[in-house]
Amino acid sequence: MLPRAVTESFLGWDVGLSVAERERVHRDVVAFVRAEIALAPAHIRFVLRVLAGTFAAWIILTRLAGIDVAAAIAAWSHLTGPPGGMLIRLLRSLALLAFGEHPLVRARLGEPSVTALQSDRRLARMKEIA
Amino acid sequence: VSSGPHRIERDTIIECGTLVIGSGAGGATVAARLAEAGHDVVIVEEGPYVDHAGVPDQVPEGMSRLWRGGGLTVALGRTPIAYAEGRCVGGGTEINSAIMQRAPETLLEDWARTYQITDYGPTQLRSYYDRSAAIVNASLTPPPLGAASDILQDAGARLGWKISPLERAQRYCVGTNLCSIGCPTGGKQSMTATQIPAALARGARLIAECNVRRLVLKGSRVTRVDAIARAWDGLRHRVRFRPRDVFVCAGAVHTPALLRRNGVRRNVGNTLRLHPTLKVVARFAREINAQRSRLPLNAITEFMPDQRLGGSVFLPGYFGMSVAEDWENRRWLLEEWRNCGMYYAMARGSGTGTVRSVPGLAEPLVSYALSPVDWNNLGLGVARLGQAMFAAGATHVYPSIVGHPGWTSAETCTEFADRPLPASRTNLMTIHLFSSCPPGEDLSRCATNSFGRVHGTENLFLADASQVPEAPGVNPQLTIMAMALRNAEAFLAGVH
Repeated sequence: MLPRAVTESFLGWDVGLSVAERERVHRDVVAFVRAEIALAPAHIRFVLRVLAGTFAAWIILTRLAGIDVAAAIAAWSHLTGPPGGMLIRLLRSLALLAFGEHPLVRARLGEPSVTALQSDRRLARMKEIA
Repeated sequence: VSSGPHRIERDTIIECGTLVIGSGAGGATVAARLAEAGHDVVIVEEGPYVDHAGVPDQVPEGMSRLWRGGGLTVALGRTPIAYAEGRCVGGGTEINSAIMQRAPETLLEDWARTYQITDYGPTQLRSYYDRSAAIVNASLTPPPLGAASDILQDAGARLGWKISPLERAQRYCVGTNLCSIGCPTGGKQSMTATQIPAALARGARLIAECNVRRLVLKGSRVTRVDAIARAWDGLRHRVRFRPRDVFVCAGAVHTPALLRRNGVRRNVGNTLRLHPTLKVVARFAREINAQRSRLPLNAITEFMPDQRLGGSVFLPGYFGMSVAEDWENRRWLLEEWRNCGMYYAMARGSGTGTVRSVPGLAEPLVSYALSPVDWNNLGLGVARLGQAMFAAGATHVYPSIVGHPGWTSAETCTEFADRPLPASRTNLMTIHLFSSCPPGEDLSRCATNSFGRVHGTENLFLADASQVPEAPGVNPQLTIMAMALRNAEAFLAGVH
């Protein structure tokens, strides 16, 4: 629940995706964030999960109080001490990494996909060697 | 000749001459040299084997597959420091930018004295450096280097600061800018392009996805090494190695963790050093399209070895990460990402940290305490970096400090030159860790003798970043390779 709520609230990089594209990008971003948390060392993962649980409770409370998710996230991201705002900054970093490198987003930014870039550069190197 | 890793398909006992644990700059170098000398070598690596033809074709996937912990590894402390390590065959050399630099001669001399390292110094290391540089074809990149490098060049020229071109481990590199997820062309001369195939061609065996759990010591000898290996079908099998000698080359974090877990604790994991690094995002009035530049291939070296100012690889996703550090102040930069570049101030690091194994946790606990000198160097460094950015035409510079509104002029960016950075709001990172098992004959501070043999043991050796005595202030790969080659040759000559 957490990564989805977070990504929906903070992917404020408008690159002109269609609704369907944005849905797909969101899905992939959430999957990446979840996979990354699963890969983190156990002690880091533990801290993240405690924070995530606390944050989820905070979200529920703020929703009950009529405050939107974005405002809740902003409040958390301004917490300075570790691990206060660390959770939001970390999740946002991961999400924006996945967002910025998503093939659909790269295409909208006018950048080749990484796959295309790799193929092109492999060819360029073969020419260089030849 | 084997071109890739062996797979373990059942519980197995393997007898071998030398077991090398870890396949990064240290382990691969030891393995190649011992195999060249005719030794029976087995290399085990915890991570997967991914050569240039098989690198991931998405940056996030690359981080998940090749970086330890997906990149979510942190040295704990009052100011946590995010660090990155490779976890794949080739180790950190597969995900780094392959910058090759030699440690300053004054530091080598100082380390020889401080740690009482026999036969160690600039003169003694020169041939090892030369040979290591030749193995990876350490060389300068011909111009044009692109806007990201030109900015540093321009800044140095305007301010009268020394700028140095950076040699890289490369052969026909065509500047793909994807070094951090594995070079897709083979242009980067990482260990999977150089030392690993050299070792395999001379008969070494490589077992990837094989996690060493236990070193069994009887008296002063390692008699057995227990590991768990993953088979093609994903099943895990027990592997019991019976080596004559063991080189642990698992890096500055995992070498001490493995040793400590197995009761080898004297001067092990107590002196971790690193290069604390503070990044900035700089916005320029013009489009610089840093994503289409090669990674910045020069650095401001005027203030070395205590501070080095340089540039980072720029990808849209990495830029997004930098913006995420302070969303409120920086989100407007997303619309101007083509005008932005990412640069850093790196301090040599005089603080120390620890590596500790905790029962039940697979990953060790790493901590690091910055020294007052580190803070001073980072504050001065980021002030100078800000000046450099404005000299090169930046309109805004955002240091990696949560809640910092950014600087808009060279006058304002010196705020931390004479007052401390805010410890709780400063985001630090590093990709250089070392010194957790220093070598030398001073038994009060050294984990191994001058040639990497663990004190108090007969057949347990180290050869990796943990052996670099202190922070070198430069990219450490070449020093790691040179010291590993030195340790391997001492082993072959029986002078250990």
